[in-house]
Amino acid sequence: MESGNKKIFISGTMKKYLFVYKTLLLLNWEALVEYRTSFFTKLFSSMLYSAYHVITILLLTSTVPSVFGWSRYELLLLASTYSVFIGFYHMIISQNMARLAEEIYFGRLDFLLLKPIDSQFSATFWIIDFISGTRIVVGLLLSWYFLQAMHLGVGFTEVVLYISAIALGLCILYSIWLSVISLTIFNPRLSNVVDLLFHISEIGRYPREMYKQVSVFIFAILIPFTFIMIPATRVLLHDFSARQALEAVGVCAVLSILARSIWKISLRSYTSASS
Amino acid sequence: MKGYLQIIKGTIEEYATYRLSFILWRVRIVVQLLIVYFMWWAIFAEHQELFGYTQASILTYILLSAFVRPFVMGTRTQEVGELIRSGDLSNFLVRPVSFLKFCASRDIADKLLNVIFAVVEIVILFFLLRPPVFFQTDMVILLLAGIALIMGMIQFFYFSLILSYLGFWTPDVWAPRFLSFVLAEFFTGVLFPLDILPIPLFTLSQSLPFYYFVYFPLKVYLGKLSVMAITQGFIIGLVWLVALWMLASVVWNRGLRAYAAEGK
Repeated sequence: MESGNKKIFISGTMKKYLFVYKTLLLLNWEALVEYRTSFFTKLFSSMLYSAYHVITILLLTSTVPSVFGWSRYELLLLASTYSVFIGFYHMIISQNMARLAEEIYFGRLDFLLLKPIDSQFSATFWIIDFISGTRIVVGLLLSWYFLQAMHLGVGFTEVVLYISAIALGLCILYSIWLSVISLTIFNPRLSNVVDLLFHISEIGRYPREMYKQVSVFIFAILIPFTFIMIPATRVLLHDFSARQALEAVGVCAVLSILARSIWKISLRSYTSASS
Repeated sequence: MKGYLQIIKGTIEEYATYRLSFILWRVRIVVQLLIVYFMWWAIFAEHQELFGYTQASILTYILLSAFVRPFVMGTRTQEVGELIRSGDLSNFLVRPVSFLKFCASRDIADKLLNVIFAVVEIVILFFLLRPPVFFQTDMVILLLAGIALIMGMIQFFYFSLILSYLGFWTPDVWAPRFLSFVLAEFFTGVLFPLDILPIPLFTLSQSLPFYYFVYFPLKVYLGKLSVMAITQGFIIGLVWLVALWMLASVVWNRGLRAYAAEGK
């Protein structure tokens, strides 16, 4: 009987959060299309930016058959998968993290904490940047093209694994960002750490092998970032082992727990000093 | 003149107040540099020469571009769009200062600080990474590279200003600025030397102002250009400089006519 009640409670909570997210999707969409000129300019900029990185790799690898042990098409696939991944990340999470750092800096976090929903949920999912969806579309189209060029087929299993790998990568990157931004509660002046995070996240765009020349200490710091992208690309290349999957799941689980704990501990120190 | 020196001093003090922000900004730049550096290092790991470059010349190019970039592209003119949108520009219009000189003073302060930090960072990175770099010893070439650098800096100042002046007509200058900077990032040669591009793209890049921001001064420094190419570069660069200066003046004057000091 008790377990039945628990199930009803969980399903009710899920429904509530799904409803909140649906409303947020609608509100964000309306806000976006309100300024049409801006909408189209942003759309075009986003498309150009997603193609830009792939073109760069295309040029850089035009005369070399392989770099860091990755063939030209494998690197291009990595670049296009990065576009898909970062498109999702910017669409769902990154703008919220930037907003969170700002709210902490200006002492406005109270507005977020007082809402009758989980604070981490409202901190993470409030803004949806639909424009970044263009990066997902461009990335998927390019990935499909590169897979065709490499004569690699993609079946149902690969699609499921690919989505899971992208989700794992998002979870890893989100956990890193949330942990770092939560720490700004202790020192709000660090709010522009978000800019730094945007750039550090680019580390995932290149193969792990590239960073092996740096010192062991720095490489150890960079390792989690290299987990955000490689698994998804390896899935498409049919080169994804159970061990790699376990490693990624392990890193994701540890970082998620750590991020949630840091968030909770940091909130206890929030003083709303500026408001 | 004294007033503008005060603006430079004030801007530096502003940075000093938000030290942590500035340091984080510099860390971001170093990360960006290291990503590009290691990418090129890895590309050259198995090759003696690629695209007509040796590992030493390409790493010199990348490290130098990290120094040249803040000197040329470090700017505060992105704030102008917001000043126009919020109506705060009116505060400057009624004061006995030239807005253009005000912006230039802010930029000088920005460049000064960024260049000092860039030099320190590059020296540290040089000792940590010990890259095989190339030092130019020919004084004439060094002088020409310096002049090319100043030309690129002024060009970029007007280019960035024109983009911000769009704020007279649209409340959102972010998107056009972003779009232009994506193009600029590609065609300035901060990520790679432009002559590795396919010939049609390289030819196209030579006719754009971006070519003269970073790539041209660096190529002059590396001594990779003939006297003819340097002369031609300076002539086209000067034409672009005058064109951008004139365009900035026209856009500013027209913009002022459209300016309604909304928000004030």
